[in-house]
Amino acid sequence: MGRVGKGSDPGQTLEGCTESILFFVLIYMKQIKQIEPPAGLFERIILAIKREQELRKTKRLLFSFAGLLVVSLAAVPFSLALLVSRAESSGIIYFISTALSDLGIFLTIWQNFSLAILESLPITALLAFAISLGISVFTLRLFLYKKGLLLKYLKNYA
Amino acid sequence: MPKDILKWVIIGLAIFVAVVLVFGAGVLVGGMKARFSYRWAESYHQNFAGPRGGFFENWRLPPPGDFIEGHGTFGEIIKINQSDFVVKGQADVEKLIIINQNTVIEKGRETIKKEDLKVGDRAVIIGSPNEQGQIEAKLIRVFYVPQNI
Repeated sequence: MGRVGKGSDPGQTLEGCTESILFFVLIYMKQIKQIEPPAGLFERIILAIKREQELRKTKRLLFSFAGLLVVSLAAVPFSLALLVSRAESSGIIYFISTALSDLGIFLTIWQNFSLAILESLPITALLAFAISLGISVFTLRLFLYKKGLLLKYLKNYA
Repeated sequence: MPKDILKWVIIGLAIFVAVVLVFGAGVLVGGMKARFSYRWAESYHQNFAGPRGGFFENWRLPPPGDFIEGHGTFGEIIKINQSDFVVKGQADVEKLIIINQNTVIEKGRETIKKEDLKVGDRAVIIGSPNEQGQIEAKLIRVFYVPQNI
């Protein structure tokens, strides 16, 4: 046989017991070639990969949900406070209460009342509140829809 | 399948109509506010006997911030004249309110006369703007202000 390859100890020869090990390795390799993989192994591997992909997707979804929910829920009280303060300063509350307290006059001059209310609508604050509330409700609804999946993930991996 | 398409077409049209209506209302109301603000600024010198902020100021400047409302206001009565009075409302903007024979003046549930209005009263005014940047009042409702505050 001679010397071993480049990376080995240059002084070591493949004689004696080393030669017998090589012989057994050769036999073993021949046996490996004859071994057939168990039935359904490929499907199981594909299933495991799919499950892993699903888990990653769930994880990403969970973090997105949590982030969106925290941001939108935190924004709701601020936008509500902004809406209330703008509604107070714009006078819309006075116009509405005046309209409600005297419905007869309201029906007589409803056009002026409507225009006064429309003119004093705090549009920006109203939009901010509607958007933050909408995102919160949407996120909660989505969470409830995917509740089973997310809770399973939290139970198994949290 | 055609039913689904029809449903979505109807929904799309309804959304489009709603958006156009809201946009139209916004343009209408914004236009009215802008027109009143312009007239208010143009007539400030005439209505309030002097430019806002002193005689060396340009009285044609628009009011600070947003445009001002012309169909309704609320605030404190700061001056009463023969047939009109001045209200200081939000952002300290003064508005001249015209009273005519059709104006209804109320305090609580009672109808009162123009002479019963006092400086310092807080009131809500509903009316329509005129060409001089004034509000022709149709309803004036004076609020009871609790004493000892």
